[in-house]
Amino acid sequence: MTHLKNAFVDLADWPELDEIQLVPVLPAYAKARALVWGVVTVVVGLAFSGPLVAIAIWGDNAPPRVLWLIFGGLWLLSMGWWALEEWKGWPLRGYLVRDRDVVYRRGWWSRTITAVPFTRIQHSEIQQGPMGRWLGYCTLKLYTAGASGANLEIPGLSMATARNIRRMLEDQSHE
Amino acid sequence: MNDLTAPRRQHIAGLLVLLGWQSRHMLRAAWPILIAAYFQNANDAKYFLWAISVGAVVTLVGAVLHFWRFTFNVSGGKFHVHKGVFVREKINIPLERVQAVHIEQNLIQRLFGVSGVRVDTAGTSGSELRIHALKWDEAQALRSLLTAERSDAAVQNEQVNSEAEETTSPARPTPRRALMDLDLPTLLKVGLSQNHLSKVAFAIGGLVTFQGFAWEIVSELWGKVPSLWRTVLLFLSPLLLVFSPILIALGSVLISVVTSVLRHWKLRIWVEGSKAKRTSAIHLTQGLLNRQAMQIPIHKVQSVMWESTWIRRLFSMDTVHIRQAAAGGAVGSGDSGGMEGGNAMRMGIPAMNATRTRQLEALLFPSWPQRKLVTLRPEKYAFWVRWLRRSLALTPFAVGLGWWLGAGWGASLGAVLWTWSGWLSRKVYRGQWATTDGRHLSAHQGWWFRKRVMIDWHKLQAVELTQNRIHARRNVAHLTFHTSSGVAHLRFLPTDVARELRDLAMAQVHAHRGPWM
Repeated sequence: MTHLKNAFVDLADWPELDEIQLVPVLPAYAKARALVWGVVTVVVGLAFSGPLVAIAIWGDNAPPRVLWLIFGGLWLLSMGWWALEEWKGWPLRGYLVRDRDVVYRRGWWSRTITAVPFTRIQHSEIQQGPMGRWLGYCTLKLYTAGASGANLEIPGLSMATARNIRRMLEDQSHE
Repeated sequence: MNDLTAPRRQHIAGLLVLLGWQSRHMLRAAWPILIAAYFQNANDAKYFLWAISVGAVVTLVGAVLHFWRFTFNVSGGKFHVHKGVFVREKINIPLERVQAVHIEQNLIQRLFGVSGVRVDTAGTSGSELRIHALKWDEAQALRSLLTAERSDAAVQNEQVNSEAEETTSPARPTPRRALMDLDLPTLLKVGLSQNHLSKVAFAIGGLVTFQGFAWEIVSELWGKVPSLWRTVLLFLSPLLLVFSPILIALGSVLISVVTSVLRHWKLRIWVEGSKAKRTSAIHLTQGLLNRQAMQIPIHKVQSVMWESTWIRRLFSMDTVHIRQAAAGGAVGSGDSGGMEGGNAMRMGIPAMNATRTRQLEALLFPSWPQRKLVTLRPEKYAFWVRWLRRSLALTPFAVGLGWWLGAGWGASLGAVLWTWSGWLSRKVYRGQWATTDGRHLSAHQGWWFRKRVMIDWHKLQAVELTQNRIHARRNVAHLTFHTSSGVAHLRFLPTDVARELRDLAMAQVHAHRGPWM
């Protein structure tokens, strides 16, 4: 007869996630996000206003004012919302590496806190694009198994921090 | 000859199977060309014929080269595959990474007395390997090798795990234990309880496809009918309008029954292997034309999902999907609750009544329920949000009717739509609940189509807590449990309960020692 042991997990001393201070990501990453926001805002603004300006200059009739209002309103609303999300969401963005798991928090309007245990990470990757090389940050990608959808990306880390986390992961897997 | 340790090719019949398989892929890719060819005049059609001939030759040469260069063997605790024509690929899969081995046999394969073997791993991409033709006993031998053999590391790992989880008892192989033998009456019930709506499109499609041919026959017969009978038939012709939906419905039910019989013919499920050695697995064989044999090692089951429709509930039977780690990368979390599994590898078992469900639970989740169950229900806020969203989405119809026929009509339709939406939202809200014993989660959702997902928390990949600003003010949050076979959601839980559940689930992952996949 086989008896399964299935000990009760006592949560009394288990550290609660929200009580612990998260570590903010590098300010360089904020610059990158602001830069992306600025470029997209300009490009979308030009895409909206370009045809209207062309019609006003070369067309027979000027475009109706309501079109300017609709396009302008949409542009202001979407880009303004994005800017607000970035502005208010930046102080909330952070990560935490604990003994057994890694936690990442993001988002202002819709806040998401993801916790991935070290034992479930299949492999990791450090990615640094041209902007990352210019501003000095990188992204750590942690992949879990199968189609879990739980692949975690922590952007805005220094290369040294990302490497240290990776080393820690390797040590954990060798234990 | 069953020597699978030395590199070898498939059975020569594999060439034919491969040819059929590649032709199917080719046809799928080239269907726009074929449609265009159908509408061309005779002069231009020759170019399409040339294109099709070239495609056929390329397919043939590709199949021969693929067959010639594809070799496989099992040695040193690894499954080795060498393949590729222009780019040579050497794939070595450690046996402990093999998730499942399925044996299939379609009509061509049955004709030549061979079967196909599909090997699934839980990698991120391209993890499925297919051998098109092996003798049936060779396929069985390969499956035994791939699923029973273990590398040294895996054996050590398992020993550590069995020491941690089990008190010692002499390990002895468990005998084959039957779980289900589907008899003909139950099989017919399975066919009758399918979702016939999905077959309606096939029935109508069939009618549309053959209408020209049928019309010719009807015209020919019409000419032979005496004039008196013609008058009677013309008088009765409006009845066709009444009977045609009934005919379509009967056609749909017939399609469901036939497909179910073809698919689940002689369905047998049994458990075999030693639990102590972690070789215990659920085996399934089924199929009339296409025979299928698959097995899932019990310790590799990641989640289980029961599905039922109102028809299946009439027959008191559900369909269960036993899921393993899925290949193919991440799955986005959609709006629907329950389980999203992408292309998760799964074993579908129909005709699960209450007794069989209890048996399966006892087999896959032996410690469930570990202690007194706690019921989790979403906050009432979930109902209001759903009602408001659905009602607002329907309101334009009422506004449109009011604008067209008058305010009274608009207001009446609005009242009906809002009431209906409220009734439906209440049904859906009451269908969403979950129970947990602190180690497992059993989440229910749906009203018309019901789903129940069961997961063991120690197999989780990650836990995600999401809350928007309005949710924060209302003190509710969503929880997403990521397993390697998909995600399960619990929505609109009180924030403190959601946090406690997240911490409990993470604690279970951390407390678990030993392999989980």
